[in-house]
Amino acid sequence: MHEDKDLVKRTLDGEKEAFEMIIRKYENPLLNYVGRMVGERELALELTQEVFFKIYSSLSSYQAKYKFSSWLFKIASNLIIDYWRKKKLPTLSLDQKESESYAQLSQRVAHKDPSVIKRFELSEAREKIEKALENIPAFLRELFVWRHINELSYEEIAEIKDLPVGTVKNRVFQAKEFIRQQLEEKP
Amino acid sequence: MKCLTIEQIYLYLEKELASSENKSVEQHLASCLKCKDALEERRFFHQTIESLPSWQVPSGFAQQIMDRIFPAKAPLWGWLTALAGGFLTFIITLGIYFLATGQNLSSIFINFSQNLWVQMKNLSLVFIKFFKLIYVILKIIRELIEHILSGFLQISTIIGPEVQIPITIILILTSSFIIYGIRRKLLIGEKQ
Repeated sequence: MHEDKDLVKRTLDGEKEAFEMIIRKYENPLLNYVGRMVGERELALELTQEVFFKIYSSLSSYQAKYKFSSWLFKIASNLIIDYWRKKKLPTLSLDQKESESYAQLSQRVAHKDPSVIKRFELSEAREKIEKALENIPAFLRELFVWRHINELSYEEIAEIKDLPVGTVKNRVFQAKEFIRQQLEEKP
Repeated sequence: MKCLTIEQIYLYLEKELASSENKSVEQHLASCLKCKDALEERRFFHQTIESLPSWQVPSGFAQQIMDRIFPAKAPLWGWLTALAGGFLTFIITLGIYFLATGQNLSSIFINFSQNLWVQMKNLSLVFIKFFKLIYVILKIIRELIEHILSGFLQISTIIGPEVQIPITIILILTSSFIIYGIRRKLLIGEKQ
């Protein structure tokens, strides 16, 4: 397996195949992230291509002290924000610093904690989670996708978003409970 | 110990707690049915989100991006072909000019260098006439070929290839003699 930094160096030295290897390594992780953020497959494919163009054109500005995948997802995140701004879509910013309205989720186990998810079959539960994911605020959804779809570490997500690790953990937890409660509300 | 927070439960499931905190959570879970139930509920939820289906790019996606980033350059032989085509056109034009005016090539070149503008004008007129002529000729040839082909198709249903080949040769030879005869007649007319 080739190291990302080595592939970047080889691409900058003019080796096209090295950049193709970067594309092949990250095409699906990026599509999963972009797809979950915008919700449409065709649009997600188009934006994923745009991410790779952006990456290629700014490859010389990549600093090796950062993890390449973090830099890549940061570019993707900025591109999605730009897309939403251009389209003037009514969505919450991905850079939202406070999540006060979800603070009440940080609670102890209640006396009555109804089982929500166990009511469904696995395939049905997956489908309902995907639906619920579309309804959670973008700044929470993004962190949830990175953590549970792209399987990034909390530290890596913190690096991408320039947030404390504790804040990232708390927001991912909020996202999960938000989704779980959506299942409770919409059986 | 107080009951666990939901966040603690998630971090416990993800093995993200420090070892000391992990130990105290396990101790609490051993004695608290309520927290144990909450843990089991989140465990199933957690397993489900960990197994969400992955989106896959269509085949050839990477190649599509590569083609847009690195568009293919025209190969060298493509340029050479264009150059050869241009040169050939030039030679054919000179040939037509030679046939049309009766001048030899050296005088064409001398005249060409002596009076470039006049030659350019002549050449452009020749070009226009030439293209008009080519258009008419191609039209006639196309119709002729269509008729010949349909004729051949009809003949081929009647006779085999062993007869078709001699007939074709005879036809080509006859056509050549006719063209030669017409040319000869025209030349005699010119001399007179």
